[in-house]
Amino acid sequence: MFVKVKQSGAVTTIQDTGRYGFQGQGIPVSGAMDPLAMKMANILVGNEENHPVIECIGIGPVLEFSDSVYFAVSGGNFKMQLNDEAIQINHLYLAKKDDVLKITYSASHRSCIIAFAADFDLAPVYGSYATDIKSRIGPYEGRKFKSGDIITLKNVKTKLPNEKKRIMEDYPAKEAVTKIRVIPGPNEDLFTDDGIKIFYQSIYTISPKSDKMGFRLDGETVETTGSHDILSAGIADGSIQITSQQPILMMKDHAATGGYPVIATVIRADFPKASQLMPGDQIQFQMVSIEEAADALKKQNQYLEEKKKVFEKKGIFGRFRR
Amino acid sequence: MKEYEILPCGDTAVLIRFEQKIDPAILRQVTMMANAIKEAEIKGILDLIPAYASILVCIDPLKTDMRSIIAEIEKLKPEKQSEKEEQRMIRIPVLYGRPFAEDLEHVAKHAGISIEEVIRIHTANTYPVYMIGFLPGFPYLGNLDERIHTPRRTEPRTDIPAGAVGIGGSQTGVYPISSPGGWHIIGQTPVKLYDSDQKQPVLLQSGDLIQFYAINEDEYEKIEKAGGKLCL
Repeated sequence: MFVKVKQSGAVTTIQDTGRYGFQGQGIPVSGAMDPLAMKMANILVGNEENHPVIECIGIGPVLEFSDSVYFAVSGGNFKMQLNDEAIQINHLYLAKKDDVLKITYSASHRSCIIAFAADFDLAPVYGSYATDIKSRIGPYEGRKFKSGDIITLKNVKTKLPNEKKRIMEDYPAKEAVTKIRVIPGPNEDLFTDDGIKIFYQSIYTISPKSDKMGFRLDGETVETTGSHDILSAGIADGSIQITSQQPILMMKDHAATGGYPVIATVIRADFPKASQLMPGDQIQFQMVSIEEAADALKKQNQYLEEKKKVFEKKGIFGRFRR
Repeated sequence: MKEYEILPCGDTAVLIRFEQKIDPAILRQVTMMANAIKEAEIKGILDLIPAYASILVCIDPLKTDMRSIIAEIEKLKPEKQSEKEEQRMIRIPVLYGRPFAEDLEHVAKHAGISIEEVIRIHTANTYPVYMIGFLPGFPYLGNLDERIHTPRRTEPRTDIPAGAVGIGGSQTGVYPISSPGGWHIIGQTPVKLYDSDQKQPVLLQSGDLIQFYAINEDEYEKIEKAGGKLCL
């Protein structure tokens, strides 16, 4: 079966958890901007957590189905409908032949993920299904979708246990100021005490000049002890680089290396929340320890594991049900 | 004595930081350590990004934790490769100046020498590849002759084409894909440094030695038509 792209939306691509193993050659890790949404959508449709998915940034696509397939949408609170009926985020749906899924936009969030209970009939590129538009790497010609594209699916799952129970909690409404937890460094030693104080006390605003490579943060400048230039080094997801003008929070398409000092790095558990921030949203950074970061991630993962158990549980009479 | 420190980068990576300078001896330490980590096959490591004087180690925080990764790395005893690996020498053809490159005159003027002299100097040195990064396959090269160091453009160009050979401050290099950039463009190579259709997408690797040589427009066209491969 296949899915026809009737309208492409703004930036609609195939993604997975990211392309690891090639960053040393300058190839960005890329992958789903909101990795938690990717996992939630996949678990809803009974896939492995890191199964390839479709990522929609900004404005979503209009997709037409050639046959039946289960799907779920997770992540940002996007408005969407199946044919003429409004449908909900974080629920399981069964699309039928000729159905049209229309994902429009979200007033509050940047991206959402569509997972199908099926495999893409595409080959991974350098071990991954992630698409990096700038390097033109990805399973679908290394590009974003355009109207008229055909996405072929195979190994379509026709039955899922506990269909009715397959629901996950939506993201909570955004706070006036989103608190994002960070671990200091690796270059905290290159900032003055005042600079560090300003960084944690300031409320920054997400600039309109933000994309999947990085979010520019408008607000107070942070003072370094010396130059803003350092020897180029590898960059981790969620690094907060301080340039001479402003902090930049590195997203999934960030360059593999960079030459600006990194004052702090967003913890994995809060990266999804940070990734959903929109231009004009306010953000403040909170310092935590490595142990707190590990606990936060464990808690997030526990939720996913519990849901997986509920969804995949086979009832005593399961095998007799049709 | 330990030659490095290990710093957390959030909870998904650690940075192994050596003495912060551009130096072949430091690069050797980086390479030795990177090899040792690869050979040790430490659980939970996703990727390594070796650089001038550091290695970023990306980890899966659900499969390991910071403390054990740091402990595992500190246990390693990086050693020189028993057989000394032969450094690759790669010669890259460059069509200097126009029609592709508009800044050759500026570099010559800044240095107070002729265009021919800039080309002679740029093709004379051998440049070690210190690291790959910034863009897919972009080589950070050392050893640019001081006479042709040129401060970056005050107004970066928004679209430098793939294959552009440039000088930025004390560095020289080649843009593997089109990108914005502030370097002065002195030439253009028909050789593809990055080709996402290839099994091995990136031509150069850290430790390679690069030499540039001048070609004319006919030779440029010939190499380009042949698919932008190196003439070995």
